Amino acid sequence: MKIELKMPALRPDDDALSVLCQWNVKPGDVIPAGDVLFEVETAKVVSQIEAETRLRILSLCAEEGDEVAPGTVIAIAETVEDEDPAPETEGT
Amino acid sequence: MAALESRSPAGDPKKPEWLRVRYNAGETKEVLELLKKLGLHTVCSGANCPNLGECWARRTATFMILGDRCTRNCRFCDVPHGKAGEFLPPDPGEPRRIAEAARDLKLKHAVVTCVTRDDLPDGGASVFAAVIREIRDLNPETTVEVLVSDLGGNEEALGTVLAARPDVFNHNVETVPSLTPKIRSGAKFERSLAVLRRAKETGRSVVKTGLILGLGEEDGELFETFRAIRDTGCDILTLSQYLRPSQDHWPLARYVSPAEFDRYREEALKLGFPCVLAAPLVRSSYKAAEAMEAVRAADVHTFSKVFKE
Repeated sequence: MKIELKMPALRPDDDALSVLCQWNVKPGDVIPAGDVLFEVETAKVVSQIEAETRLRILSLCAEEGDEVAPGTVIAIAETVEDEDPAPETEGT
Repeated sequence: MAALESRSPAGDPKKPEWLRVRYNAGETKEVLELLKKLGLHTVCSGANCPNLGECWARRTATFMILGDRCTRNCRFCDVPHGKAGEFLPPDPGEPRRIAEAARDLKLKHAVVTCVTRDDLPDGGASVFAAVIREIRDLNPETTVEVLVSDLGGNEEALGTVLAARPDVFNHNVETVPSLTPKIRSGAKFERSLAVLRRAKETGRSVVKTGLILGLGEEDGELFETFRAIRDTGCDILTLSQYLRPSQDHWPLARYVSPAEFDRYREEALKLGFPCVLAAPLVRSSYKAAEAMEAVRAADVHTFSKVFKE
């Protein structure tokens, strides 16, 4: 199933902007739940955003250095069943 | 989308490698939904704590009572400051709902803090006492830690909180004496020490405080502050990195490395603190249950006696 990956709110009702400082995946990667998708810098720390489910990354919609608000679509992906054959990827 | 190089408030040093946290939105949903359902605030959210993702994924949170607006405006703090007229009276149902949240989250150790409410005659002390009672009523095995303001120096109000016998009583000194009037709104260094001393004198609670590093304090005064705190009898000291919330907040003087935190912990331990938690992302409620247990294990006689009362 194709899904939009959005910048999550890092706390309830959060509307603060963060800077996408690093992508840890690229189109074609299949990553398990819990792997880091990307990193955003907030005023206080750098948050490493994890995949909530096993995913295949189809395309990236934001670039490193972009300012992103919660809810911003930053990638398109599709969910991947555990038994699906997938190329090996290194953990990030 | 505009391209920026950094979210660090202007002029702040680049964030060091050790200020990285993991966040999995899916793992925080359960706690988020429970808090929304019960209409509760947390300091995790209110103060934009960097450990929110980790703590909520472990199904723990630090409750914040008496609203989400503070009557003070400390220069380091991310909790919103309210103006006169914005403050609601205490919600009489809040203590029970916190007890229900502790039950639903199966908390073994519940940590409760507050926004400072100088507008209330007792600073909210009676609400703290009610929260302690309600948590114990619904969760007899759960230990309770409170993190209170200085209650404006109101001795009677402090007595109300202490009489409810929290397992851990925390009041944060926050910084060294010379920075206190510049950074803490409406607070006095000596008054905070007096709060800790009085808490310790009751002999019923583990007593705890915290300092934020990176505000501009010098080592000499910092070590003197460790000693002044220890002289009150305080049991647990937390040392944390200042994380500047915005350009409107007190400027960041420096990032303290993990190795420096280790050195500060060693200095504090030399003074006899039973427990010192020191690391960049340590916060007041970080490993709170473990810290309490460490102190109780180190002082079995005293705490055994208290439990028999």
